[in-house]
Amino acid sequence: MSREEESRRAESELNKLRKLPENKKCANCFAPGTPALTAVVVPFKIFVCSNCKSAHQAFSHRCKSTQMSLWTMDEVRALEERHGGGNKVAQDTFLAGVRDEDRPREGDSLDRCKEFVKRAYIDKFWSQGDRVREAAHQERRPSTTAASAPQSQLESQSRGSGMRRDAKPTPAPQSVDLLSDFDHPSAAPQQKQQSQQPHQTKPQQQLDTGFDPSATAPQTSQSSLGTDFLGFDPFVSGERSDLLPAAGAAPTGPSPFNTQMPCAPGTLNGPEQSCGVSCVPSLPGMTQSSFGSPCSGAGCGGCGGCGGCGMQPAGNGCGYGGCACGGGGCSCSGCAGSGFGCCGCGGCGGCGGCGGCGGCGCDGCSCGGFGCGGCGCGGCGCGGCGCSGTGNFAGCGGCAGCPSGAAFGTSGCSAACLGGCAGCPGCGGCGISGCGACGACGGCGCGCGPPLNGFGCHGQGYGLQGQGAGCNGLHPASSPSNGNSFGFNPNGSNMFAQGSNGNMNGGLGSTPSKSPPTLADLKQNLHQLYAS
Amino acid sequence: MGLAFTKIWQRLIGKQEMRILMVGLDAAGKTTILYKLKLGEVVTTIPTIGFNVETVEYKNLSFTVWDVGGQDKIRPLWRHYYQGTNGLIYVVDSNDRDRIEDAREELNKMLNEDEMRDAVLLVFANKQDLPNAMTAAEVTEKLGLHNLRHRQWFIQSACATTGDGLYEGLDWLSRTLSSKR
Repeated sequence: MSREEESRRAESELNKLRKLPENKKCANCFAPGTPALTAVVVPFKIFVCSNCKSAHQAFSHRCKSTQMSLWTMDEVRALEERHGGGNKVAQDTFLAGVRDEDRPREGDSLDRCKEFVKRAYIDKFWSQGDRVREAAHQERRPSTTAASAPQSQLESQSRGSGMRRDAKPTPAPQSVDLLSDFDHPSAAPQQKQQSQQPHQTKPQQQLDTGFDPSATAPQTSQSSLGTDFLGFDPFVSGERSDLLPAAGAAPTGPSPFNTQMPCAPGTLNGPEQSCGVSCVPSLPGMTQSSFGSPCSGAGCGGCGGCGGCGMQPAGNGCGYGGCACGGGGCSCSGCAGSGFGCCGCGGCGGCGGCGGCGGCGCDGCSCGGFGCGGCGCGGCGCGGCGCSGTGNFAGCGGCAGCPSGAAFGTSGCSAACLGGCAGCPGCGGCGISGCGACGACGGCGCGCGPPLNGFGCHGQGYGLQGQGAGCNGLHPASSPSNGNSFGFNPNGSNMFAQGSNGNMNGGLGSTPSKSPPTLADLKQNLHQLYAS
Repeated sequence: MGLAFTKIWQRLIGKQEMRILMVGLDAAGKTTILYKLKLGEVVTTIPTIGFNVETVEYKNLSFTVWDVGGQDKIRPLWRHYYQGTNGLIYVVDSNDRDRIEDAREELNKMLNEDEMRDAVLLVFANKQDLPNAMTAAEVTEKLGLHNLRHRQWFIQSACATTGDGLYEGLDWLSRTLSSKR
C-alpha cells in the first residue's frame, strides 16, 4: 500500500518536472511532448520522446514511462536539476558540444536516433570534457563543414574517434542556433524520407498518451495510429462518415464511443453490444480521465476484466476508459453471460481472447441463436466477409474480407463492404485531408499518391498489422459456421489484414442505423469526391 | 453447435490451436518477438499498453500468441489472460541485470496462480546480441528455474532482432504441447 502511495506522490512530483519547459522537449531531438514527454531514460536522467526512448532501449538503457511505471521518490528526485537530472543539465553535460545538425529530428529513423545516442551517451562524443577541447580546436578551424554534417555522419561513425573529432566544428555559440533550428524543423533534409520508412510502424501507438490524464488529446497528428490495439481509427472513420453521408452516422452520434463501435447499439442485438471497443482511450473528445471513467457500454457483458484499466470485472462494467478493453481482459468466459456471447465482447479487442473465438465460436459464447449475428457481421451475405449468414447486411460491420479486387455490388463486395473499404486505414497517411479518393479504394487505389511498400497508402503496414491483431482477433466478420476467422489466418497477407482493418474503420463510422446505403448513393458520393 | 463443427474441422485438418501467453518485464522484447515470428521482420515497437495478439502457425500447431504489456502498472493485468493458457512464454532481457530479480518475482507470482498450473513454461533469454548479456545458464539460475516443481520448462537464448533462437523455442513448445494432448 505504502508503495502505491509513494508512487502516487512521486508521480505528482514527476509531473511537475515534466512540465518544466526544458523537459517538455526531447533531450535528444527536441521533439515536443504532447503535451509532455512520457519517457525517462533513467541512467541519464533525461526526458525523451518515444522514438529516442526506443533508441536508448536498444542499448539497454533503462527507460521508464511516466505513466505506466511505478516511481519512487528517490528516482524522481534524481531528475531534479539540483541533483543533476533533467534535460537542461544534459544539454550542458552529455550534449554540451552537440550541434543542431547532429541531432536527430522528430520523425527521423530509429537508426539515426540510435546513432546519436551511441555518440552522445556511450562514446560521450559531445560531453563537457571534450567540449573545451573542441572549442580550442575550433579556433583553428573555420566552421564551413557544418552543412555536410548530416550526410557525413554515418561515414564518420566508421572512422576512428580521432578523425571524428577533427571533423567537428565549433560548438561554442550554439544554444541560439539549436532553438532556431527547432523552430524550423521542416528544413531538415532527411525528414521527408524518414517519415516514409516502412518499418517505422508502431503497433500500438499512442496509448501511452491516451492514458495520460493530463493529455489534451491533440493526437490528430497521429491519425492512422491513434487507436492502437483495437485497430480502429477514429479519424479515418470520422472522415468516412463525412465522405459517405449516405451510410448514416452511428445512431448515438455524440458519444465518442459509439461512433467507434463495430457493433453500434441498436443494430442487431441491441445495446448490449455497445460496449466493447468503447474503451479506446485516446479518442478525441473522450474525457481523458481514462482510468475509471465508465464507458458507454452496458456491454462487454462482464468481460472478465478490463485489460487496460485495471478495474475489476464487475458485472457489465467492463468498459472503462482506458480499458484496453477489456479486451484482453475479456478472456471471454465472462462474455458468455450476456447472452450475446462474444459479441458483446465483439468490441473488446479480443474475442480472439475467447481462446480463439474464431469470431464467436468461442467456448464461452452462448451466442446461441444470435450466433454470429452478434458479430456485427450479421450475416451480410457478403461472400467477402466470410460470413455465411443471411443477407441482412445491415448489420454487417464491414465485410472484412472484401478483396480489393471485388467490384462493387458483387457478392464479394456488397455496398456495405464498399463502406468498409472506404476507411482505407492508410489514407490517413497520405497527407491529403480526408483523402477523398479513398472511398473507392479497395485497399487504397486512391489517388493520393503511390502506394508505399505495397501496403496501400501509407508506410505503416506493420502497425496496422499489429493492430489488426486486435482488430482481427475480435473481428466480427467471421462466423462460427465456417470456423475460419480472418484474424487467425496466418497466411493472411498484409494487405488482407489491412483490408480488415480498414473495414473495421469503415464499419465503425458507418454502421447504418436504418438501412444500408445503396450502391447508387455510394457511387454518387464517389463521383462528388473525385470531382472535388 | 458451431463449436462442435469447428473442433471436428480442426481435427480433420490437423491444426491444433494453442493459446500462448507471452509476458515479461517492460522492454524485454516481447512485441519484437511476436512480430518477428509473425512477419519475419523487425518492427519498431512502442510500449505495449494492452496487448497484441497474433496467430503463428508452426509445425502442425496454431499458436495464438498473446503479448501483454509488461510495464509496472499493467502487470497486475496479466492475470486476466491466464485462463486457458497452454503455454507461457516468459521473455527476459538478458542484459538487464538490475531487474532480473524483479523478473524472477513476477515469474514466480505467475506460476503460483492456479490457472497456470497446467501451462508449460518457455523462457526466452533475449537480447543475446548485446555484449554484456547473461547466458541462458545464468538466467536460469537467477530466475530460479531449477527450483520449479511440477512444471515443464525450457530456456532458450534468443535474439529477437535476428530471430535467433525463436523457432527453437517454438519447437520445444510444439513438441511439449503436442505430447500433452
